[in-house]
Amino acid sequence: MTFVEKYRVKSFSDVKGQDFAIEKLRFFFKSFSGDGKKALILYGPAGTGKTSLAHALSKEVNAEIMEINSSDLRNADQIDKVVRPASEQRSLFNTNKVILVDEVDGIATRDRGGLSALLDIIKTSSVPIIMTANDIWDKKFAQLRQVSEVVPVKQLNYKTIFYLLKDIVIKEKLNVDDESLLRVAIKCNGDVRAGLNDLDVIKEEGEVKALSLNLLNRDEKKDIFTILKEVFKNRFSNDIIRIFDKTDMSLDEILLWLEENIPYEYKDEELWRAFDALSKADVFKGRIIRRQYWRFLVYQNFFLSAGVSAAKLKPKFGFTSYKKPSRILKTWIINQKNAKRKSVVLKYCAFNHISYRKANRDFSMIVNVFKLPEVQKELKFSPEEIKYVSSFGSS
Amino acid sequence: MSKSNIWTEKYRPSNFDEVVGQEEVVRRVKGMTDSMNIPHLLFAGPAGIGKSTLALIVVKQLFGDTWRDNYLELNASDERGIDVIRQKVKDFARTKALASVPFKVIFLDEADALTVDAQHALRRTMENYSNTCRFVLSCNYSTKVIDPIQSRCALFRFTLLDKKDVTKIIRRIALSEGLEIDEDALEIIADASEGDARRTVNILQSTASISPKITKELIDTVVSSAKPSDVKIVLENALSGDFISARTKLLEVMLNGGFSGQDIIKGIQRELWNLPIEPEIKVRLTEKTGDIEFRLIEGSDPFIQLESLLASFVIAGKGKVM
Repeated sequence: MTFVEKYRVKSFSDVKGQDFAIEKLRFFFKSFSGDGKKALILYGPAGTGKTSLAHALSKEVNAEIMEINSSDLRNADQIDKVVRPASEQRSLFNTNKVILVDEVDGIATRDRGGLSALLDIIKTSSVPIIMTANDIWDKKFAQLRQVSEVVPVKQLNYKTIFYLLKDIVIKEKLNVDDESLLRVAIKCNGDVRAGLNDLDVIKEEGEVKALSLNLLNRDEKKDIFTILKEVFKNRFSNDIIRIFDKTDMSLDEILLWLEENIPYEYKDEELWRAFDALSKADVFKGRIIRRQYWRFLVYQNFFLSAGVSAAKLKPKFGFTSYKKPSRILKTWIINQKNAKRKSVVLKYCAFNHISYRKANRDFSMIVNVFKLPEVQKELKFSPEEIKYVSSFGSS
Repeated sequence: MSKSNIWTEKYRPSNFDEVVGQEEVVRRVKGMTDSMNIPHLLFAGPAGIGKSTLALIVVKQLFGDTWRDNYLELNASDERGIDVIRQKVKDFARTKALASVPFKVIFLDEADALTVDAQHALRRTMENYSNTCRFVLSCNYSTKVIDPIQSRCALFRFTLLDKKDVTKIIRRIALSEGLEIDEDALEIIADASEGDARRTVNILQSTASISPKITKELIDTVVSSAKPSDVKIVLENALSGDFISARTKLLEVMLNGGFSGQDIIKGIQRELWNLPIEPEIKVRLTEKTGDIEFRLIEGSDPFIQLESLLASFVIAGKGKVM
């Protein structure tokens, strides 16, 4: 069994980073009636879990999934079979079934008739309809968007994917080092399915490490070292703003490499100017994320290349051994150690009319209280959680 | 008194008479509650002085035993964005109240953690459901709540508890739990509590969990373990020119302490004033800190922003400022 199959999402609790979509799905299903919208479109990039979300919903509400594909849409008999039985009981809205139309944008481009058939079904259906699509903003989908709840499914960032893959590595007791895993996570560019497939490939081989680098394009590592050298050492040139075109590495990963290595190359004033450029690049990145205004990418790129390069007062010579970005990995390791803390604090704030953020900040002050057996019983701590809180400080 | 073993819960006031301090606020809120009708409320004031508690008392008085069905507690800093909040409000407000009171109550804690845009969205939600719901919003600073929301709410300002009130809380609990506590120790807890009732009770139970005989020394060990003083070490590393140690330590402090980038910036801004550097440089660094706090809100990766601030400290350590 491949990891994609084995770790397919089984319930909402397996889904990472899609709280908004889950909330929308739950609400859509719960409030489904003749008056409201009868269909919901999940749209987002490939491998973000749109189909899985639909399946997880059906599990949670205990409804059967009826999948319709493009040929079904042309087949009146088939549609009757799916839609009719439900429609017969007019007053009772049928919520033990959900109709799933996967990749609706694909259907509609191949088959114009399919789209109008689908619109008819939505009009008459008394069963909730969930559709998935990569892109739903084409003009020809205007009507479909009008009759449906349109819900974005977010692209996951590489950290989330790294943690997700790491869990699997631990569960499967795979011998995959964190560095390779991080590269897989970054490389798959938000596509969890691709990430899982890559993991499948590298776990099959004995020589995991060598292969993982192979898989991820042997030249890339050389690329980034050359690029760092050019940015950090060479005299400033106007071509520098195109330097990142030489690699497939994403701007996010390049930023991590720069961040890690600036202090090994630049000191004092140069250090400050380089980090100021990084800081400005990050501001534009934040603005892109928040406003989806992708033109800001120009500035992000500019500050990372020209900004960092122009930070030096004079060209550098000699050899510097550049280091791999380590922050994401360190973050993961420390968070792993503190995972119990989060579950302890969450249990506490569920009882206590206090936000997780506040409770977490007071942790060192209340940890003594967590050591009391009667409190542990009241908050239903697990044996591991008890062990975790007892490991703290003096008593 | 609730049956909980956690004292902040056990000794949480359950009616207006038990509330310590905030006399004026309590009197006016009680008056409104007695009339079985309340407007939207905005509770402003620092943490741990009774905002959530008063909201709970209001709903218990209004709904009696069915308060749980008619009360939704949300936390702006824990929920993932305004859309999730709106969805939950929608869900909750769809059904009518099950009591004689014709509305339900939604408590939104830390409303000032919402961005201005999110607050405008919240305002619309408040309007849409004003027939069926009353909102009780709490915030630390009322100035961070947009005017249109303020104008729709009755505003109540909560103040820090004074020493007399804190002492009253300590004595009440000591008596009920059979703690032995001398005047010195009482004084120290009252000081360490900083006017925050939750903090007071937490310090007290933490100390009592070690021994029922509460002494000054015992309190010191509990209180000193809870200070995020490590920010100072980070800054000292940076001032001495050791950028790499500074950022390594910073990452540890953030992750082990569960601090957000904004928590750290606040810590730096406070700690900065006690550092052994020239006043003029302090002023410039504070300006820089403010600038970075702004970028941190606009940007995507708080750690990058903090690193850039540390680089300013490195330069300041050489007696220069950028």
